[in-house]
Amino acid sequence: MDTPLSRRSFLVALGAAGLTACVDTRIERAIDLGGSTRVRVFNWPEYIDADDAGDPHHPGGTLARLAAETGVSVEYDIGYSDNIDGFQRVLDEAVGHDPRWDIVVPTNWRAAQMIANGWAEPIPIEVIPNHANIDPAFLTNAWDRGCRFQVPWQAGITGIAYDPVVIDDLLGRPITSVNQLFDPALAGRVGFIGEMREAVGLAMLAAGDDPSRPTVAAADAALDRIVSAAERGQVGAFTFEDFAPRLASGELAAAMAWSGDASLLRRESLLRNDRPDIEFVVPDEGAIQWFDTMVIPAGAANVAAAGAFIDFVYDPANAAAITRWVGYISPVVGVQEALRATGDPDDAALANDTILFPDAPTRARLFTWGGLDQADEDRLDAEYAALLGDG
Amino acid sequence: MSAPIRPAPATPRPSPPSPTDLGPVATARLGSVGPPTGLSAYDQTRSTPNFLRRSNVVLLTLVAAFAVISAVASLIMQSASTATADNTAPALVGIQNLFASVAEANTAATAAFLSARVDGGGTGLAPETGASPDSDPGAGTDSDPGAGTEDRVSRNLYEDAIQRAAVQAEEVSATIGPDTTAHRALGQIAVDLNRYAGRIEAARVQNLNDLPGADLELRTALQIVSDDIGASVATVTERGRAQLEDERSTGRLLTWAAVALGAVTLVALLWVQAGLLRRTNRILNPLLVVATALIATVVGYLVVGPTARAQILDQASEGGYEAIATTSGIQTTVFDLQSRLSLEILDGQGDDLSAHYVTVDDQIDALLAGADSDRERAAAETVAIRWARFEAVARQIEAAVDGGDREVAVALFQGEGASTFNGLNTSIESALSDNRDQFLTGVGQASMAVGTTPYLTIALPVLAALAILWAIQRRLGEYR
Repeated sequence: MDTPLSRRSFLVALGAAGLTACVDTRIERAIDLGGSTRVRVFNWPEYIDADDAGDPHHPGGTLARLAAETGVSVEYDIGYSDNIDGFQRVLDEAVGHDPRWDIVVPTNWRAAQMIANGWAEPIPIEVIPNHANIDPAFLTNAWDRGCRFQVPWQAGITGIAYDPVVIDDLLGRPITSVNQLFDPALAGRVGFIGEMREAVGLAMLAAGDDPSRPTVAAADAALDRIVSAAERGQVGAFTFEDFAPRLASGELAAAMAWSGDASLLRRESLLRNDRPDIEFVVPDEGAIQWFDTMVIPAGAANVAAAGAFIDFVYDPANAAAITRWVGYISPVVGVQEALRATGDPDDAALANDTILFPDAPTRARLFTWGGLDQADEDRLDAEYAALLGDG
Repeated sequence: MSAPIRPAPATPRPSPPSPTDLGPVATARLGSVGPPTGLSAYDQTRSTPNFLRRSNVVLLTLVAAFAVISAVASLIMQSASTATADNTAPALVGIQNLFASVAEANTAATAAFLSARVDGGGTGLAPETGASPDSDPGAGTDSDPGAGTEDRVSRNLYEDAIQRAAVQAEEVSATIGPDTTAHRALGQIAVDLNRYAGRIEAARVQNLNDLPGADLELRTALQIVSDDIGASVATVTERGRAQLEDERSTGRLLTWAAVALGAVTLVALLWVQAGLLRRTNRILNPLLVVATALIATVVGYLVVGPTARAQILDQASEGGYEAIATTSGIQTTVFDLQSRLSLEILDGQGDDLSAHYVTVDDQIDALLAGADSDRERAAAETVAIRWARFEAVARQIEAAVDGGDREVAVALFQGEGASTFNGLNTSIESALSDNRDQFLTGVGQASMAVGTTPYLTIALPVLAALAILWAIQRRLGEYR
């Protein structure tokens, strides 16, 4: 835009795109990518809509529409397995002079490390008008206020998933508290999440501590409790997304679990059995909230195209398509409305899912890991990794 | 160096030199011969060696004076540029960031206060589970009877923001320079931040215990921010801007004095060159030409460097700092609007806030109009969008208060209101950061524009002086 644009004419322009001031979530603006038409994304598996064969480039999918609408083609790598090995690949192949990817998607605390170390490019907001659609809840992190160096991809809750029938047999009541995972009646049939911050955070909540304001003493005490539970055989397995088949097979009765996977499983079992095989709860003490976030590694070759990718997935309609498939909490303002607007009953059910769109009481019980000194975090990581090896 | 060009012997070289052509030194050396009779003292002083000696003294004096004045001027200017880059500009930006933090703290504290007042329902950690006192300020301990009844996220946001504000006050204090008024205002901000935090804690405890006076404490806290801290921030900003103006003009007069003296020196050099041409019929003295070129270079640098500096600073001020001022103006108005909404809810009475909406609209128009890069424009557009969202919720809150539906008003304030406010506040912060970067880059470039001037203003005149000395001594040597 070469001519000055007043706010009123700007909002009129938004209105012309079928929007009003209060729901102006779809933002149109001509952007110049300067010839950058290719973006290389390094993301977690099953984190964008794909066809039955698992192809994220399927016709009509997000990536295909991105290419059709913006001319930006995506090289999509699903090798980010976790925040240890996956992040090591980021360190090896994306931090340096010639990053292999233009967007990497680590979890929030890893992104904070990247930013603190100067490994992230500033987000090119000049090509991302939909930057205004970031949910304000993600804008106030002390390590990157205003999302100037990262843009959240999806958020999730680490709560408890359980088989309601089995738990009723073993405990006689549903699971509502983290402390129930330590109940001897569930010995050997409990899954603990493989991510230290989430497991320790939940154990801290069980002890009445606040993982968003962690202290070394509280974190150590929580880890000690997990170690001692593992030693006495309480923990059947340390899991990531594999909690689902273990719950389905009956190997586990309950597990610390990611909301998206649990939500998808629940929907699938509802379709299959007309009753949920698993339940997912945010315990009374609270649950851990986290988010995986898009970071452009310093020195990335296709920053403008990366911006176009981010802008596309921050359009509420496109974000809704991703939410429909991955089942995680969208950080995009307007997704709930976009799902409702489709008129599809399944989408309406999704829009009313309080795990996908937590209501105020649920939000009040969500805690994001606050972080300790790097040395303490490293020590806890090492101790937890040793436990996983033993588990 | 080649020998002076000698044209056709219109004036043959004196051989032996006549006493008339030799100055006092030569005269003394030829003293045994005795001064020629009939040569007046006036004629003797007009001799070429005398002319050379006088020129030597005059030129060296002029060059020395020029070197000293230009070096002092450029050092003063460089020091002012460094002060702008290292102190004034960061302080001006820092004080706006401080106010943003206080605004966020205040909104979060008010949201937490109102949540505890209305819902009272378990949004914090469960007291019976034995929360450690240092784990969560809202968590249950015996000394914290209301634990578990206020919005933990808002409370955490408040704590983070107030802590950040205190650190920012220290940072501004460390960078603002020796301005006593600014330091007094910053000292007052530190005091007021403590007073404010004390009032917020008092309001919180009384509120959680349902004691009377909680509203009054919160009202006092709001007033401390809008009246006291706001006034101190305005003072620091005003002092910073005045300092910036001072630094922009510092050394300008002395620089022009140096330029004038340089011009005089150049004229003197040309005059000597012309005198030599007249007396010896030699067209140019190459060493004097070198000296002239060196002095001309310094004069040129003194004209170009500071002018470039002034232009870059003007550009930085217009493109960067004016945008900072506009953005912080939006922040101040929005913050005042938010405070008034809080008071409306506390009082249960509506107020006319339409002027605030119009003011912010106009300020955002100015921000959009002043955006001179794609990134700035994008940041301004984001501010406009997030303002529209906040404005819509603010109007709903007003409508709820006017309709006597306090519960809805509170729910909106602590939910959508706090969320959209945080979105707006952080978008303003981002715009401020972009403006700050632009401003600081400009200031840095301005500083670089005069960065080498002090060295040049010393080194080149010294070389010029040596060239003059050499040139004249060589000429004098021809008479010995």
